[in-house]
Amino acid sequence: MTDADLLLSEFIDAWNGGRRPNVREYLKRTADDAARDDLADAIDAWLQVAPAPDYGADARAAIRAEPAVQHVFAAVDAEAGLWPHALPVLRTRARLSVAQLAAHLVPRLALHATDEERTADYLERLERGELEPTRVSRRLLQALGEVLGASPSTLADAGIFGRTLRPAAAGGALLRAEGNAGDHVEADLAVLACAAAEPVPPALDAVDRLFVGGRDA
Amino acid sequence: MSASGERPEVGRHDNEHLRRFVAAREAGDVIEMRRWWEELVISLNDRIDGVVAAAHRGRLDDQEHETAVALALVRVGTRLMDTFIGVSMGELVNATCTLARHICIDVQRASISERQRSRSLDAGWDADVEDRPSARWEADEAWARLDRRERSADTAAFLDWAMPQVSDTHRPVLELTFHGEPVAEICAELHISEANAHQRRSRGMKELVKLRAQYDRS
Repeated sequence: MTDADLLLSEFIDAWNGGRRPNVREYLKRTADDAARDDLADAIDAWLQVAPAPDYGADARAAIRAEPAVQHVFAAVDAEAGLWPHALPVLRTRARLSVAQLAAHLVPRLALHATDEERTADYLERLERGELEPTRVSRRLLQALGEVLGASPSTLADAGIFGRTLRPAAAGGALLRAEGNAGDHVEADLAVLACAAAEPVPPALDAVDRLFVGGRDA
Repeated sequence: MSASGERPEVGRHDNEHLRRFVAAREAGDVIEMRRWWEELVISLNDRIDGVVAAAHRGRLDDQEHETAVALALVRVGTRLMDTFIGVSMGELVNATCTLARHICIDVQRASISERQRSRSLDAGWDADVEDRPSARWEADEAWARLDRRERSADTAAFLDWAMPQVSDTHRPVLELTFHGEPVAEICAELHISEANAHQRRSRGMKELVKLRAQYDRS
């Protein structure tokens, strides 16, 4: 019997017993790289077929309290999904400031060098969850993924994460005027007239389109 | 407990969670969906963590490991919400392991690229990130394969096929293991020493690994 046999067996007993063995800790207990690789392969094989442990209430509560799980659960209620958490984490891991990330993106997206500052502003809004994830273009997600080391699909998923699990917003209430509504209608029309008199907003430029122009922009 | 006959069950308790989740999704009951989705994520968390750790063999640092686990949770959680059409926990476990493994590979590639770039930072930003992970996302394809049922990769189906082929020496130990029996119980049941039980268990798993490769090729 080798040490790897013993470690694997101990791991399996701990797994089946719901004691939540930590794979990294077990790998650290191996004697050398070859033994570590063997044990990793064996544990991987076990995890592919292992029965789900009978976690008790305490174990389930402990898992629920883990930071990664907490972030994932909290993101279900957030409009921007996991972006406010995941984007800064990925950027930090890539050792980039927002400005540096913008500097990487500008040439990749064929923008002008003068667009760096606005790109950085948009990136900050993206990290704060202020932009609608479904309006961010695929091109931008692709470029972000390449620089940050995540797939565009993962980034897209992170942005819209949890929407399926949110109750649909309630429809707006329809109110019927009880008395003379003329004054209210007049006021509403005045507001609309003012809006109509405003100059047409400038068309989206290349930077805007990437961040708010929709998936195909 | 008998060491023969009965097929080992995978995730037998969580099958109920999955069944309830799928039923709630079909009924459009968002509150129930969320409840059972959370239970499933809790059940899968340690497996994802373990598969990621086994894939990088402890070579990612803690932060990189946590990032890979978080990304895997996002992918698994999203697929579970939106597209997973499997009906058994075995199918879900298989798809989860595939996703987690591929996400770990992506993080490893990013980590290597980051280290290369870090070295070149002294020379400025000329060293770019062309060797970053490609957009090709193998795990998506793995999940799509599962969704299309082109591959009967359900863990239970694999075990049904594989266990009769495991040698007579190792099979009883594996069967008891899959039933959750600890080594002490296995020794008592099979009248073997503890060292022998550890060894048979380990060798039995190696047989399963070989059979898995054969199964996946077929």
